Formats: sequence, structure tokens, C-alpha cells
Amino acid sequence: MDINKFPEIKPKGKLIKKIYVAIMLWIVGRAIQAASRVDKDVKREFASLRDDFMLHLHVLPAGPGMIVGKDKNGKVKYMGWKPGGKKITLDMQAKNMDGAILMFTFQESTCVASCHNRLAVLGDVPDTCTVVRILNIVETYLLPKIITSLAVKRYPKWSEMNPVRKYLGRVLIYIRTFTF
Amino acid sequence: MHIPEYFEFFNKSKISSGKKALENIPFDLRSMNATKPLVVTDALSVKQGFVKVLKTSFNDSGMVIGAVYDGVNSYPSTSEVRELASLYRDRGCDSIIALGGSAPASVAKGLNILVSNKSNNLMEYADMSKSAELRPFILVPTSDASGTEASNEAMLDARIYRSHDLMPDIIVIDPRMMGKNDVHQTVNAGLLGIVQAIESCNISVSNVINDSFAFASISLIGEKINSTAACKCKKKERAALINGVTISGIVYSNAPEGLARAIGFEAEKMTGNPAGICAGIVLAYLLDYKLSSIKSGVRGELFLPLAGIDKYCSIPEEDRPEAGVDALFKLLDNLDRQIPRNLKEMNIPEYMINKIAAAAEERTGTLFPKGTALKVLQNAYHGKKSAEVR
Repeated sequence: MDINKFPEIKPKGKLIKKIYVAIMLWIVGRAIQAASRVDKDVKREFASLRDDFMLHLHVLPAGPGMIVGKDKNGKVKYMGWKPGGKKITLDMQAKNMDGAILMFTFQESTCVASCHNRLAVLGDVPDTCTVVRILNIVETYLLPKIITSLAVKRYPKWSEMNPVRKYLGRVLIYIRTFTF
Repeated sequence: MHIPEYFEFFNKSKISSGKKALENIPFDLRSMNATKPLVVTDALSVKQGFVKVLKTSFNDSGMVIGAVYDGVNSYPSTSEVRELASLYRDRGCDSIIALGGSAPASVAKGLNILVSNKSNNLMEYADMSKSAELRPFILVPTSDASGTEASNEAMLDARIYRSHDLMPDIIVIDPRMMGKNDVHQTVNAGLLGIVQAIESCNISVSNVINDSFAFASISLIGEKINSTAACKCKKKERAALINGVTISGIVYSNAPEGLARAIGFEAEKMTGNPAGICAGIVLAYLLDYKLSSIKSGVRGELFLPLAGIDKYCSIPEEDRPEAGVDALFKLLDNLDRQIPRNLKEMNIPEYMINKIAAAAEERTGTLFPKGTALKVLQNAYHGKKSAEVR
């Protein structure tokens, strides 16, 4: 057998998908920080988490990712995408880029993606559930209803999030996400 | 539910099935401490574009594919396995991916034995008792699957190597791997799957876990075989059928080989006709023969996955075995455009019947009274049920 007929295959990259997911993670990370100051439910959810809570949500094997955690004063902060030197308490990993794309293009909600085993988690399950609830609220603020309905398990009812709260919160979160 | 005093069930394989399932392979390999797989496949998979899809699924994984060997023959041999072993070692691979039907799967299993034991002589490991722990092995069945890929068997040079260790670690079923190939291949795989599943749960030592796997297999195949045989384009339906066929391989690994399956493979060996179609036709006549002559060995529960819960409940318990056999005949009748109605129409010479029967009985041992295979084959040859023969 001529083994040169069967060469090694080096995989290519997925640059466009990587850039898209990186932008989405940056927006979601910043939006979580903003929502923790604007929305009472997000505040309450973060209050239930430990003081040194640090979430690393990233795509395997080499990113992109985002880190959101509590600082020394207990304030929720977006801390970039490099985990070096940070004590991660909850590591949520999308197993591959295509799984992450399914989630971030809202073809699959976070819950469905978890059921399809597209996410691997290192950390406490209650903390993970809290993060999924926070992500659902943040997505409700960031996206129009027609898209959010695809991304969350249940779109909040009128009684849970009335239009005044939703639109006012949306404006404030967008301002905080893209300004300071 | 039928439960014996003692039973064992073994399944080494994790099944990963559905949308973007292929993209999970690099993650799964890493979790088994493997970083450089060798892909074993055949020319048909290259032609249908499956190899290209598999390569693309490794993009952005940071994992190098050692080589894609696409020269597997339809009758795999030990010399081919030895050559592949040298390619595997030369490239420093640490895992194996089999892509395609039974031939690539058999070669991959043989290759795994050689490279795991650092040997070049497959015969030393005929009973696998001396074998070292095998390397990670992933199976990606395509629409060319025939039903034996997921089992604990490898057939090389017409010799069967059987061990639970040979079962794949992970089976990945992705709708993108379902091509528009010949519907006869699909029907053949479906029928072999249904034969393996039904025969495995119709023996006296069957167990509840194997039964539940068999139930899933029969349901999936029974539901999808007609629609996939009618149209080549239904990828999701085909994937569902291949799920059923794959599960039947696991079921078969936990039970002795049945008579219909043995007849199918002996007929294939002697006449070149597809084993699944032969076995499928023979199975219906075998169950009919059991009902009328032996009066046991056909379980009423068989009717449930074949006909559905509504029809199952509407039939009295004592009539269910007969209804199950009728449902199987009906399933074959619905496939009359794809398969012949009896063995005579398959151009099997009548004088071969005796030879096939003798070889099948030798293969299955004392599972059935002597002469059963011949009587069943005669019924299947002429397409006559036991009651009509009398």
C-alpha cells in the first residue's frame, strides 16, 4: 500500500462562525452586567449565587468565550474572555462551534441545547439553572418577542413582565451594554 | 413482561443521533484521550459525499485526521487489515472511525484488534481472550449500513470474530450521512434489523432489557421501512430506520443467532442474494411454522411494536402471537415492489435449499429441532404457509 495516497488531514477553521459567536458572547456578557443593575429578577438571581461566583461560558476547544462574575464589592461584572488568573466557579462549555451556532442563532433554546447534550458543565447544577434563568431574562430584554420565543423555554407573561418594564428595561440595558 | 430467573445484558456503545451529531466526534474522542483518528471507509462513501461531510465536521476542532483510507472492499480481508495497521502506526494514530456499512466496520474492528495488541496476526486473537484493551472506536453508519455494524461481530475472510469488546464505543447517526442510494439496500438493512430484533426476543432466555431494545428497534423499522423504500429523499426517515437497524445490532449481540438470520447469511454466501431480504422472508415463515407446529416461541408482545397500541389492545391476548405473524406478513406484502414474495422468485435453485438448511442448522446448533430449517425453507421457497402445506 502506498501510504502517501492517504495523507493527513488538518482541519480548517470556521472564522465567520467564530466571529459571530464572539460578538454574541460579548453582547450577552455586557448585557448580563447591565441587566444585573436594571432588572430586579436578575438582581435577585445573582444575590442567590455565592460571593465569588464566576461564570465562564465558552466554545470548545479554543473559544471564543465570556466571563461574568461578582467582583470584590459583590457587583456583577463582565470580565472579558480570557480565563487566565481568574477563579472560575462555573464552567459552561459548548462542545463545538456548530452547537454554539445553533444556540446563538436561536435555532435551539438554551434548554433544548442542554437536552441535546450540546453543553458540558463543570460546576454546581443549581448555579447552572440560575444562569439559564438569567440568560432567559436577558434575551427577553435584548431581542424582539418573535426571536426570543425561539430562544427561551417560555416567553414571560404580561403579569411577569409588563410592557413598561420590558421596554424601559430594554432601553436602559442597551444603553449600558454599549456605553459604559 | 417475560423475565427469566437470571439474565445479562451488555452494551458498550453510546448512541449519538440527530442534527449535527458528527460535530461531537472530536469532543468524544478527547474525552477518551484520543487526538488523532484514522478513518476507515469505502469508495461508495466518498462517491456519496459522506467523507467530505465528516472532514468538515472536524473543522475548528484542532484535531488532525491521521488518514482517510477509502479502499475497503465489499469482502474485507485480513491482508487489508494488516496493511491498514501499518498506515495507522506510521501516522501515529490513536483511535479509529469506521464510516459506511458492514465492510468498513468489520475492517475497523479487525484493525482495532491488531493495533491494540501490537500484532500482525489476527488469528492469534480469534477468541479475544488474550486481547489487550482496545483503542477508542467510533462507528458512523451511513445509508449503506446493513445491520451488523453495531454488533459484536467482525467478518474477515469469511471468518467471524465475536467479542463484546468489538462493539463500537460510540455510534454517531447523522441525517447528513443518509444518501440517495439504492432502496434495496435500505430494505435489506431494515429487514435484517427486524429479523435480529424479533429473533433475539423470541428465545426462551431473552431478557427484559434486550426486549426493550428490540421493541424500540422493531417499532422504528416497522414504522419507517415503507416510507424509506418508497422515496430516496427522506433523510430524517432514513436516519430513524438506521437508528432501528443499529439498535438491532446491539440486541443481536446479547442473544444467540436465530435460524432465519443464519439461513439469510448462508443463502447470501451460497447464492449471492442479500442476507436481509432472504432472512426477512424466511422469518415470517419460521414464525408461522413455530405457531402451527411447535406451538410456542412466538410472543404476543411482538404484535405491539408492529401494529401499534390501538390494534394490540383490540386483540385478545391468546390471539396476539398469530396477529403478530400476520402483521409481519403484511409488512412484507407492503414491500412487494422492492422484494420478491418468496425465495423462488429470488432465483435460488431448489437443490440449494437442502444445503442452505444444513449449513444454517449447523450454524445455530440445537436451537431448533432437526429438520426445522428445511421445512421452513421449503415453505418460504414456495411462499406457502404451514396451514396451506397440510
